Amino acid sequence: MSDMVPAVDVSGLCVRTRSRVLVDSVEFSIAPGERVGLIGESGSGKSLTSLAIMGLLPDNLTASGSVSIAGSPNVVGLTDKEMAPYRGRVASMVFQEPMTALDPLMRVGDQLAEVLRHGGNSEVSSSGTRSRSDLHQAVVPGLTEVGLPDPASAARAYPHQLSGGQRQRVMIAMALANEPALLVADEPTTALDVTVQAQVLDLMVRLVEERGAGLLFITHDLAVVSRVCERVLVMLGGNVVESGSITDVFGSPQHEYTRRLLAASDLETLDLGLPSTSAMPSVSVMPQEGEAPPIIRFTNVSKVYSRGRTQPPVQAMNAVSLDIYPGERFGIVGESGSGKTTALRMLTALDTPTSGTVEVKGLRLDLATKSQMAALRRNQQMVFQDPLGSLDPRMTIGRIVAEPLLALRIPKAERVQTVEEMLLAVGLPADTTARYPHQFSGGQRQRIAIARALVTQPSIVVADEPVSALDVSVRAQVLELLARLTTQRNLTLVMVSHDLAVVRHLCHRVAVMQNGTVVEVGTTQQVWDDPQHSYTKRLQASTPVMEIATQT
Amino acid sequence: MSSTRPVSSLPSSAATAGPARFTPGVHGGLIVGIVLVALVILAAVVSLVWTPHDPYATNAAIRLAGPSSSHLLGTDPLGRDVLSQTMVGARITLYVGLVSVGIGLVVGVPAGIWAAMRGGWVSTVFMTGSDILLAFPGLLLAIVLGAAFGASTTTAMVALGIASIPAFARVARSGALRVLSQDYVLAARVANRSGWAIARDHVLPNIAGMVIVQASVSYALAVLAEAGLSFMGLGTAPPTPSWGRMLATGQQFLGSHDYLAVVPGVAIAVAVLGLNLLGDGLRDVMDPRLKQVGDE
Amino acid sequence: MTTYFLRALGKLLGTLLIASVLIFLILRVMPGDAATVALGINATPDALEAWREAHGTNSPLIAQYVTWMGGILHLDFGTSFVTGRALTPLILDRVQVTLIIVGLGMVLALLAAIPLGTLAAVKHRSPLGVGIAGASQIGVALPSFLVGVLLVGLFAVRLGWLPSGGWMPPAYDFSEFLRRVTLPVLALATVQTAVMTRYIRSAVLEVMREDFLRTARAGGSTWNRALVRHGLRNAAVPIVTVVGVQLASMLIGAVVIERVFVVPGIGSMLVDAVGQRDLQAVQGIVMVLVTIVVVLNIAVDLLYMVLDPRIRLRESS
Repeated sequence: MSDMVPAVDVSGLCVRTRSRVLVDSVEFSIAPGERVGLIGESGSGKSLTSLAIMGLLPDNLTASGSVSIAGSPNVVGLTDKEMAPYRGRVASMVFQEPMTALDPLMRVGDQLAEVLRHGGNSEVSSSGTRSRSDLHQAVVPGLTEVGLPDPASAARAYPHQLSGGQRQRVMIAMALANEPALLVADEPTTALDVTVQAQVLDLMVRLVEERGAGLLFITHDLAVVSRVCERVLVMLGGNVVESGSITDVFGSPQHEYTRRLLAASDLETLDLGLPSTSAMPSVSVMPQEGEAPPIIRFTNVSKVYSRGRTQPPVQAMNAVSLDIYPGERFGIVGESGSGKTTALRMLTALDTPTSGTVEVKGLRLDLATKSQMAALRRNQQMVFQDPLGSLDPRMTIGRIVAEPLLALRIPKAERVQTVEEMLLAVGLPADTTARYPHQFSGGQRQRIAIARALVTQPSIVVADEPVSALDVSVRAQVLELLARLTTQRNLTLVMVSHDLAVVRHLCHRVAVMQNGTVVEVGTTQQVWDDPQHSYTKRLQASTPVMEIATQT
Repeated sequence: MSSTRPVSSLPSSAATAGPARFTPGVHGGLIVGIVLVALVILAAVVSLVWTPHDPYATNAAIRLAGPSSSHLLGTDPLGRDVLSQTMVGARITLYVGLVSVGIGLVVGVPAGIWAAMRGGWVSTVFMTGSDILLAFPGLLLAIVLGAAFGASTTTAMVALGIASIPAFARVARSGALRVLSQDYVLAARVANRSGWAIARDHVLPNIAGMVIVQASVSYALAVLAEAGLSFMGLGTAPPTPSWGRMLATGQQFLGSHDYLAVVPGVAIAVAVLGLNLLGDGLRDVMDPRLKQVGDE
Repeated sequence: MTTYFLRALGKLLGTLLIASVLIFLILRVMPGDAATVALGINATPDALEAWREAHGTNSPLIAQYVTWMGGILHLDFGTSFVTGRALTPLILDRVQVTLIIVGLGMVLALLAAIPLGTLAAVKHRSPLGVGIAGASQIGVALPSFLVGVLLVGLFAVRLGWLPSGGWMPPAYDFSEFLRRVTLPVLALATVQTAVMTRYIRSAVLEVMREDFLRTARAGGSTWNRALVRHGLRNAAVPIVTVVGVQLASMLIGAVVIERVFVVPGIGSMLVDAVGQRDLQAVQGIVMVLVTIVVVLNIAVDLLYMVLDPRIRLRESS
């Protein structure tokens, strides 16, 4: 193995702007057939490293050092023209956003054929006489290999006619079309649903293995890395701070940062106030059904969205019935299009059901008067997924957090005091009030959003993917904060998430949704350990989990 | 094992982005734009209290006198001082633009926001109305209204103002639609704030930048259109000085007295260039996307 | 696709119908009596009455509108209130002249602006790119009639190479047509080049940030090749809209240019008709101009759909 020419050999690689060094002396090597993960949080320089290897850095950044791909001379500093022959043939790349990474105006088959042509493939070489259908014929094998259901029609399709997972399969077909020695994948499955992610990851690993190509896999997700890679590099602030086999690095991390990252990703170690997952299988502090009437009740709720005259309507929810009890932490889990977000919109009265009823504290939302609705909204607040998007960029934090109080016509002095108390409660200094959202980090912004949700002393908090836009290290803190505050204030928490793992650690009970229906409801423990429905089983199996036990 | 250390303690001032999103002073085009527009405004304001000569005083003895120390930019065929006329002309230019942009702003922006917030039939009626108005470009509408009510500065301003309504309404509507899709508007709705409060506190501040840019674009278009109308004799009536009419006069004396065409021409170009640069500059400094450096 | 086309046609007819009512109403509420304007204030009441009878201005407004609209549907714009001549041949003749000037101006402008705008975007950090951007910024600020006046001053008055104005139909004397059409077309094209250069530059800059260019490069394309194969195609979509809008604005803006160069286009006919308060002529001309503008707007919508499969396929499914 050691005398083989490495798929890529990087040494002393730096990336800098005019004034700043963004990647500092990165060094690593990937053998043929080896799969190496590059992990780090946003801003760590992991994406820049991959772009530098491919010679695709934006032109205001410069790279120095040495990169050799499959035994080539140093490619750092090559011109675009000199570098082009390496790309797609010797080293190729899969990007994060399958939506924007393909040319929207060009048929998928043509885009794949273009890559084949660069590889000197005779079947598609531009002899000029080839018709479009011949071209599409030539790309069918590639599309078949990545598991597209109908490769011939996929070749004729435009990117927007394919789903996200299908587009990412096309990207993989393009990247592997010319049998490259190195495949660089930059967060290739971050934008995909969990079950699709699992399929795409498996496909990628299999194809890379078959070809004996090296894989550089960039991600922020430690669980995904442990599933895909053999070796891992940890980046922090432009430096590789630790590297080694997955077992070594995850099993006995040396660097302080790696340890913290692992601790944060490993939700097992978080104490979120739930009954321990290993002991006490069914008896818990969870409120028992029948003890108290449900605080939230969905009865046969359906929702149909019409999409104009030309498109068929969408059945977003189909006869959903749910009971949620006071003091409970309830999770709703599903993938995109499952109807989980629609359920949340119904609950917060941002939308009305097509049929069926939603009751909160015994009040039917469709019959609520204006003042009843006002009282309800004081009692039930919401935390959103993207903390930046949910905070008005042109308002100060003080005004943002005070907004729910404005609707209640609370005098100003009292408002200011309440806001400051609330900011302290979520762990932010009181001088926060005069500043603007963009001056805070992602985790701090989510604390602000939580402060806003709790400022009216509600009894119900509804959270939409509250941690999925956050870096791993921050995610744990925000989950802890949510858990602590719901316990202290005796709140009912309804959380929507795509991530069964997060819900399992935070919630007492969970409903699993698919295609607008609830397929399974139960305690999180039971649903995780012993899923009944086939979809829940698939979801559970696809959810990436750290496969290396942390040693202490 | 059991210790669940927070990964990073929270420093009180962990500012991630720059200190402010609005940083004028670095944008060259914006500075030039401000200077040029200020020049036009200055000329107009000064002309209210002082001009080198009486802009209306004709004097056959000095007709078509070239630039000299007493008449810096020469005199016109009636012997009037060109510099004084140009200064007073700035007033008309600014006035027409101000009123027509005002009409577009006051009618178009609320209409656009309303259409975005209501959706449904309001939006449909709105889009149809805006399509019909788009069929009447400003210059054409000014000519038609001029035919009906007589050509004057007022007719021109009103016509240009009406014609600019769809542009403002569309900018406001698309901006409002974008703002309304943001989570912070949902958060406000969950907080039980009224539609009116959301429009005032969230929508308006967040689309203000786009509207200001549109205002400077519309202002420049109005200046051009007014000059064209006056050039054809369908705008400001004599004897009030107007750059467009001065340019029409200048055309007749090309070759012998070029300054008569060049002076008002440069004045128009300075005003329009200034407004365009101002608009572009404001858009650039208000768009945080353009300010990012090569980060991940 | 067909349903979309039919809907566009419906929109076209609806817009024109409402526009015609608006034009009619605006012009008929005009203060003053058309007969008095036509015959002068010394005309006898009998003569005035006879004139009104002959031109139908004494019948109810609705009837007048129906008569007018009925005529237009047969391409008959009626007779001039002032000269008494049939308007249709005149209008068609004049509109041709304007369309020739505007069309040539836009073609010339695009021929210059496509390479200039692309260059300005690709080299946006170099002095060349900045220079093109700056020059186009100044060009946009120049009214086309000012450019016209300056061109006349230079090529007609100073150098005497070309006539300062006038017109010759191409069918009669093509070389004379070229001599006379050059300056007005140049005046329109200069400003349009600046306008289009700016739009093309920003469209190309926008497209240069797109992920799919990076994908193409990752697949082995050089930067330039990726830009030509993928970038320009995508940049073309928004530019088509701009060309439509600009054609409409040039058509109206040509009014002034025709004045500068004494070209007998539809614009100068309109200005003359307004000057003579020839209501019937104004009505007809404005209707023709509005029709062209609306047709352009809808043509842009349709073209947009042809260019962008995302819109095309959504509409057809």
